[in-house]
Amino acid sequence: MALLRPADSPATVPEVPVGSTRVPSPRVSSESPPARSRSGPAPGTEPAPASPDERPVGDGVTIVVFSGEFDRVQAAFNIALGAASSGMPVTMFFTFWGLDVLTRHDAGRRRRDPVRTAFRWLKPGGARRLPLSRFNFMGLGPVLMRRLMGEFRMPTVDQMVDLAHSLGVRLVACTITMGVMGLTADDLIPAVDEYAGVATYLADARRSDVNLFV
Amino acid sequence: MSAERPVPALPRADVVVDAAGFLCPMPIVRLAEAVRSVEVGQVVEVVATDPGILADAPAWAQMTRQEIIGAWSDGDRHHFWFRKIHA
Repeated sequence: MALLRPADSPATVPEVPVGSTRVPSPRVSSESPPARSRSGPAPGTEPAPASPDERPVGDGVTIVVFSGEFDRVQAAFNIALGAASSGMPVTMFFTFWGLDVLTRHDAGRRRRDPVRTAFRWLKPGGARRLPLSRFNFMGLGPVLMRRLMGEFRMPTVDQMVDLAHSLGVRLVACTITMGVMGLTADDLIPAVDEYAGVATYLADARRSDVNLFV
Repeated sequence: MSAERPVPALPRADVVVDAAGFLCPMPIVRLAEAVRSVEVGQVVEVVATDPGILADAPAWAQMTRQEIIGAWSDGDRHHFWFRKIHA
């Protein structure tokens, strides 16, 4: 089966012997982007995306990272990296346990009030310390999982944070959680782009048509 | 490819991304990097062993409005050729 052109087109396009794999529809270079289903302008009248603030409704991805488990966070970053690599503006909001991803590994050493110091001591945070949501086994699960993922050359969470940052993913830390947990900007990694609350999330989310809560 | 069928002429690539052994989303991330680095009109080839690429390559091309000009699988090594048609 010819993948992209009719069978009688020039022989520079090879066949794909991939069995029953789904055959994609051909990309025609003059094709306009798919119309948005939301209440935007009619298809074809959409202006080209300009700066992130001027982009049309429906263009973008927001992900609320609420969980602080390694597997869930990994999934969130997979989507974020894929979207950023596909030209979509991506914002990740880190709140509650998700803030562990952005916490510096040495944040536990900083002195706070007694309750928060104890809390940091019990749950120090940091992208390399995240537990698994299942099969954690007192920390053995993540060690084994990291080894398995390493065999498949999957980036670790801290590498994914750096990669996301370098691809222009906006990393936003929730200031409410920071206050509750006694974290300041100095406790978080430098890759954090913004410190904000729910209004910032909503302003971004209503412009995006992919909104996820992980 | 079966033995009796000759390997067809393959597109010539300006940049080759060898993402063999990498899992989702790394083939797409590295493909995007390469396409960003070339000029409009140039061709990027990506090689991946993750079978997800068979669905992901066309999906990525559609989202980024780039053109796939060729695809070929050699066992579990999947090759896709993309021509950059949008900056």
